[in-house]
Amino acid sequence: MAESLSEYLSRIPEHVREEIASSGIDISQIVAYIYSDMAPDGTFADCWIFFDSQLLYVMTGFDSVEKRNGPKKLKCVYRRKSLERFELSTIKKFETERFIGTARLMAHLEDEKEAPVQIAMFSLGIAGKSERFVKHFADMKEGKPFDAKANEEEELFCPKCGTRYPNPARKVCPKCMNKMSIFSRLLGFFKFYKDKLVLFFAVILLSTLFSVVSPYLGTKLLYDNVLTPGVDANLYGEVGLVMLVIIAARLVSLGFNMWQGYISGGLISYVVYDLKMKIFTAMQKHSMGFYTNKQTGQLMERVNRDTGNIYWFFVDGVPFFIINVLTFIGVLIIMLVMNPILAIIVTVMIPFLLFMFRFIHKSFRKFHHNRWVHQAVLTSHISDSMGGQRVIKAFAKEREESTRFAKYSMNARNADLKLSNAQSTVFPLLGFITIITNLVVLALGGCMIVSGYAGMTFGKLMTFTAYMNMLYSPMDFLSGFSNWWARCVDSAQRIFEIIDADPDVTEAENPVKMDEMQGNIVMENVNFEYEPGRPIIKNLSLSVEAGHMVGIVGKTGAGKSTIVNLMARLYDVVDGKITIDGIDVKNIATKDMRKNIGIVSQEIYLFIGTIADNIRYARPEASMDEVIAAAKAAAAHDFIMKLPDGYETRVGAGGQDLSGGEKQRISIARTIIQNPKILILDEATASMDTETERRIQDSLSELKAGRTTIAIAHRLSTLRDADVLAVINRGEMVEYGTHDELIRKKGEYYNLYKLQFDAVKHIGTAE
Amino acid sequence: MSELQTLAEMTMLDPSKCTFTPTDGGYISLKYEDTTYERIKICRALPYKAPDEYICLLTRDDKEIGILRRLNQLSEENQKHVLNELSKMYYCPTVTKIISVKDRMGYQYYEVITNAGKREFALRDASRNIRYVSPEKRGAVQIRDIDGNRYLIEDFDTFDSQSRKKIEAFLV
Ligand SMILES: Nc1ncnc2c1ncn2[C@@H]1O[C@H](COP(=O)(O)OP(=O)(O)OP(=O)(O)O)[C@@H](O)[C@H]1O
Ligand SMILES: [Mg+2]
Repeated sequence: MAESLSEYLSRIPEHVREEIASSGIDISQIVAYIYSDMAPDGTFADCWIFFDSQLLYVMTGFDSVEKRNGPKKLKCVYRRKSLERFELSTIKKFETERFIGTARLMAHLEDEKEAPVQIAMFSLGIAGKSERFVKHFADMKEGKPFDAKANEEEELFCPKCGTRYPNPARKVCPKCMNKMSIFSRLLGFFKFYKDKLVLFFAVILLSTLFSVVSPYLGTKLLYDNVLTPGVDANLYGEVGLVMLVIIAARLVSLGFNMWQGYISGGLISYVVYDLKMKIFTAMQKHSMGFYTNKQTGQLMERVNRDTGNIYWFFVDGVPFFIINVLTFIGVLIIMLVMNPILAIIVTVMIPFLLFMFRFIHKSFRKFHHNRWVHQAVLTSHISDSMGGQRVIKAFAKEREESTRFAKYSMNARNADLKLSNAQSTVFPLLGFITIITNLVVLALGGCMIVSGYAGMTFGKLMTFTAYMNMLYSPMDFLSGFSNWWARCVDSAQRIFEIIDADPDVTEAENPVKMDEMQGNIVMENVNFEYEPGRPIIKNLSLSVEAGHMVGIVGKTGAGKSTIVNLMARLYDVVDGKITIDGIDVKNIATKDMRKNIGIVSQEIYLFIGTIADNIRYARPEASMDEVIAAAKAAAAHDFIMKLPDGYETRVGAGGQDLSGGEKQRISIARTIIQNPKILILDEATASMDTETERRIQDSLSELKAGRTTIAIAHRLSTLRDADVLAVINRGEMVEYGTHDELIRKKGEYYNLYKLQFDAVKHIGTAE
Repeated sequence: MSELQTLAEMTMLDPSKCTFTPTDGGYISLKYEDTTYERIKICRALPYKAPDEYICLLTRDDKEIGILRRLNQLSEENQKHVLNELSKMYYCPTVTKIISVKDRMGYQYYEVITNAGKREFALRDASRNIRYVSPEKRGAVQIRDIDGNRYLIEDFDTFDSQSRKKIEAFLV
C-alpha cells in the first residue's frame, strides 16, 4: 500500500494538526513525523516529532477529551506542554536505541565531538515506526525524494473504531469483528450437507417432542386415570399397560436421541475434515516467515484445539442448544395450559434462577481455569522430561525430576481439590434453592387440590412439578452457553485467519517459467530483517557465476543462512534485488525455483517414513536404482545397509534414531535425487569426519558439471574447492575473492585460516 | 581454586578500578584501569533474582568489557551512576490499578493506571504473559504486552483488591 506524502500526513489526527497549525507551522511542509507515547521522563504522554526542510519540532503534551456545548458534545483536543525547535542542519543522523522495556530516538549531531541528543522516548511498539522516521531523514539528507515505500507501515489501529489491533500482523479488530458473520461463514461449510442437516433438525424436533410429552403420559395418566378409581373405567387398574406405554415412549425418545447423535457426529466430522483440509492447504502456501512468526508447534496445537472447539460446539453445543430451547418453550407452554397461576409463579422465578446459574458458571470458570493451567503445566513437564530422558540420565537427575514432578502434581491435585470442594458446597446449595421452588409450588398446588380450585388433581400437580424439574437443566445449559459460543467464534476466527492470510511471499501474477536455470545469481544491495528494526543483512551485494562454487564463511549468527534463504526466496528481501539469470526471483515461478534450487539446510528434518521415502521426497517417482545411487553419492549407502531394515528403516519422529552425520547424509541424498541446477549446502557436512566429507564432495563434483554451488562452512577445509569465498560479518560482506587473494590480503579470512591451520599444525607436532 | 573459578575470575572486573561518569545525551562512560569506554551498556544477568549482582558491562558495539559481581562493591558515587543507567535500561511502569480487562478473541485489552499515567494495552496468552517474577510465586508480578512492553505490579498481595481479582486467575 504505497501512498503519497499527503496521505501520509493526513494520518496525523485532526486535533493534532489543528494544534500544529496554530503554532504557525505549515503542515504541508512536513517531511516526516512520528508519534511517541512517552514524555522524556518516561511518563505516558502523546508527543509528536516532525521535521520540515529547516527545523525539527518536538511537541509534547497529551490528548484530552473536552465537553462542549453544541451538537458534538465531546471533542478531542491536544493539550500542548511544550514545543521545541532544533536546526536540522546541525543534525547528522537519527538513531533508534532500544532498551529492555523502552526505546528512544537519538539525534547525532554534525559536530562529532558533541554527544548525541535524546529527542524522544517511546514504548517498544513504536520502535519500528521510529526506524522509518530515521530512514526518512537519511533520505532527505541525501536529497532523495519522499520514499513512499518506507511508509508501508503496519497499521496498528483499526481505522473504524481506533481500537488497537491485538496483533498488527493480523489486522482483525475485535470490536468491529462481526461475530454473526463469522458464524454464518462457518455454517457455510455445512452447505454441502444440506439433506443431512434437514434430517438432523427433524430428528431433534421429534426427540424433543417425545421427551416433552413423556411426563404427561408417565405421571398424569398414571396418577389420574390409572390409580384414581372412577375417572376412566377403561384405564383404571391397567398399571401394566401404562407402564408399557411409558417404556415405549422412553424407548422411542432414546432411539431418536441416538439417531440424532449419529447424524450430528457424522455430519460434523465431515465439516471438520473439510475445515482441516482447507487450513492445511492454506498453510502450505505461506512463506517461511509465517512459520517462524507463529512457531510451528504452537500453530499446530492451535489448529487442533480450534477445530476441536468447533467440533464440540457443533456436536454437543448446537444440538443441545436447540433441544434445550425447544424443551424450555415446550415445557412453559404445557405448564401454562395446565395451570396458568402456578405457571406464572414459576415464570417469575425464572430470572432469579437464571441469575443464580450464571453466577455459578462464572465462579466455576475460575476454578476450572486454574485446574486447567496446573494440568497443562504438569503435562508439559511430563513431555519435557520424557523428551529429555537422555540428559536427565546423563546428569543422574532422576530423583530431582521426580521431586519436581511431585511438586507440579501436587499443585494440580490442590487445584482439583479446590474445584471439587467448591462443587460440593455450591451444588447442594443450588439443590436447596430448587427444592424451595418446588415446595412453594407444591404448597400452592396442594391448597388448590384441597379447595378444588381450577380443577387441580393430584396427578396434575405431580405432572406439573415433573415439568418444572425439566426446566432446570435447560436453564443451567443456556446460562453457560454464551461462553461456549464465544469460544467457538474465537476459534473459527483464528482458523479463518489462517485460511485468509495473504502469503507474504507470493508468486508473481505472470511468473517467468524457467525450466532449466543457468545458475547466475546476483544479489544487489540487499537488505533484510526478520523483525522490524533489527537489520540482519545490510546492503549486501554478491554475484555467483553459473557453474561456480562460492563458499560463505563468517562467525555464527553473521547471517549466512539468511543469505541463502533469500536466494531460494524462502523470504523476500526488504530492499534491493536478487536475480537468477537476470530475472528477479520475485518474478520466477515458484515451482521452477523449487525444482532448480536444492538446499541441504543446517537444520535437518526427516519426515516420518522410510529412509527410501525420505531420499525420494523431491521426486517420488525416482527408481530404487536412483535412490541407491544418490545414497552412495552422499556416502550414506554403507551405513544404511548396516541397519537391519536397510532402506526401509523408519525414521522421523518415533523412528530409528540416527546420528547427526547420518541424518545429514540422508538429507544430501535427498538433494542429489532432486538434481538441482543450484545447490545450497548450509553446513551440510559439519557433523561428519573429514574423510566422509571428502568422499561426498568428490561425488558431488563428479555428478554434474555446470552446477552452481553455494556452500556455507565453518571448517575452511570444506571450502577448498570453492572458486570464490565471501566473508560475512554482521550481515555485511567484508571480504570477497579467491582463497589465495584473501590469504594475501591478510584480513579476516587470513586470520580465520591461520587459526584453524595453526590448530591442525599444533596437533601435528603433539603427536 | 578450581579451574572454572579461575576462568570466571578473568571476566570479573575489579570494582576498585572502575570509574563511571555520566556523559551528555544520557550516556555513561567507564574508565577501567587505563582504558576509557564511552557510551557503555549495562545489563543485568539476573534481573529479578539479583538485580544488583552480576552486572554485565558492554561496549557500544556489544563487546563484553566484564562483569561486576556485586554492585555494592563500588563506591557510592559509582553505584548511583550505574543504578541510574540500569533504571533507564530496565524502565518499567508500575501498575497501581487495573480499570478494566476485556476478553476479545483470545486477546485481552487492559486499561490500567500506572505510576507513569493511564495506559491501554493488549496482550495475548495471559497465563504466559502475566507471571510472578520470582519462582516462589510471591510478591512482584510482571505483565508483558504484545509489543514486549513490561509493566510491574510491585506486590501482588497488597495490590488493589478489585484489580487483583481481575487477573489472579492467570497467575500460576
Ligand atoms: N526466524 C528468525 N527470526 C528472527 N531472527 C532470526 C531468525 N533466524 C535467524 N535470526 C537471527 O538472524 C541472525 C543471523 O542468523 P543466521 O541463521 O543467518 O546466522 P548464520 O550465519 O547462519 O549462523 P550459524 O553459523 O550459527 O548458522 C542471527 O542473529 C539470528 O538470531
Ligand atoms: Mg546458519
